[in-house]
Amino acid sequence: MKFQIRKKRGLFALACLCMVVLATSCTNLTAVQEWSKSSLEASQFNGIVATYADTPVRLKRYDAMHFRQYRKPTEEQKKMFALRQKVYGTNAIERQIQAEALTKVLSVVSDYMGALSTLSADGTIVYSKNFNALNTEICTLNAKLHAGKGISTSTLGAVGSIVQMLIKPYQARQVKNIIEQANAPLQAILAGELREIVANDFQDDLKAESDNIDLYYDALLIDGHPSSAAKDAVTEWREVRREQNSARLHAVTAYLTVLDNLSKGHQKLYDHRNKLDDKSLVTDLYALVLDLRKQIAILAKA
Amino acid sequence: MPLALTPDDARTVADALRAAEHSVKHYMDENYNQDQHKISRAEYDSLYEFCQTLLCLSNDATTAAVGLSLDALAVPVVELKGVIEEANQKIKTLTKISSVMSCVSALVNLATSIIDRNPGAIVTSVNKLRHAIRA
Repeated sequence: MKFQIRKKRGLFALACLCMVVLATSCTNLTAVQEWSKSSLEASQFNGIVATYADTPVRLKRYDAMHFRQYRKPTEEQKKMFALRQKVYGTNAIERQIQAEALTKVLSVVSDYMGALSTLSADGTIVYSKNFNALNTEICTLNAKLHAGKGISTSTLGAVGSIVQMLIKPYQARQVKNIIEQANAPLQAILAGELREIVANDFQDDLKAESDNIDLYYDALLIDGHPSSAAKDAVTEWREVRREQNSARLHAVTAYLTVLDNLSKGHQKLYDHRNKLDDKSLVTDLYALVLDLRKQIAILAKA
Repeated sequence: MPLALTPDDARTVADALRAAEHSVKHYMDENYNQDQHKISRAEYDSLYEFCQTLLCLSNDATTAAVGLSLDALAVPVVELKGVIEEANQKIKTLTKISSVMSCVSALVNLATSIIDRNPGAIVTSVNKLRHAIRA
């Protein structure tokens, strides 16, 4: 009898120890989920791609040979004008094709963030609700089957908790595996050629458009001795175009910050993949989430 | 054999064309403005056309740079798509766990209804079990 009691106590202590070990091995993925959810939202603001694609159409506006009505253009000027019209036309078509390809690249990044967000979400395993309901149902069944001799409530509770604790680490392992596999190609995209396109090509494109605006409107202002009213109107229009250009540049800068945030955040996830709820990682991820929300606010206005 | 152009080569060309336009525009502003005309109107017009052409070709070089960069992105994009597919499979596995528990829950309900000899509850429990199995 004493041996039976000692055996039960021993088994109970072992079960408690297992629960403690399992409890401490549970990884909280909340910060991972928050960051990847915000990354998904931010990466979907890809209006800058359309801005890039439409640039040749906008530039044609600033290539009107306004002085042609006053002076006969030379043959060389006619040739240059014809060349430019051809180049703008070709570029417009080519950029539409590029825009489709770029949108697909950005969609893949968004899809990955969406998958990571879902994989790390508590809601993906709706077990808490099920377990509570299941525990209640088993208790009711127990009571009907063997009055007082069924599975004890505490054992049922322990079983429920243990299974919960088994699933959480399993989920964390799956998230770790995905982060491990995705980091190299994701960094190649975010910190590689995609970043170059946004940082160099998109920005330089808009700066060149700003030069076009200055060239065109400066020539208009000195052409044909305009009246004061005409000068004022031209100056005002130039400011409107400059502001539009500036707003587009601002959106590109915001998107570049988003790409850098995604690259940095994912690299941190990779570096801490064996402890995804590490304090310093969680702090860093939440700081990145705040920054992402700022950029989302800028991109939403653009 | 044509030279292989890299995205950075195309960007260098675009930058050089823009820099050239800045130099010419600066010359134009210095030598033909509302206060003084150190160059003739015809010369100004020629330089204006030249600047327009430089900016147009800069735009063209940027288009080339983006095209070349997109080619370089093809491989990592395919790789990342593979990882996304795997992630979606893992999500399906995780959600199946909750489905298994729904089945167990439905079985317990059925057992309870049978013990209670409650025909209405038995029918409801059987339907719940069917639904859980199909989920």
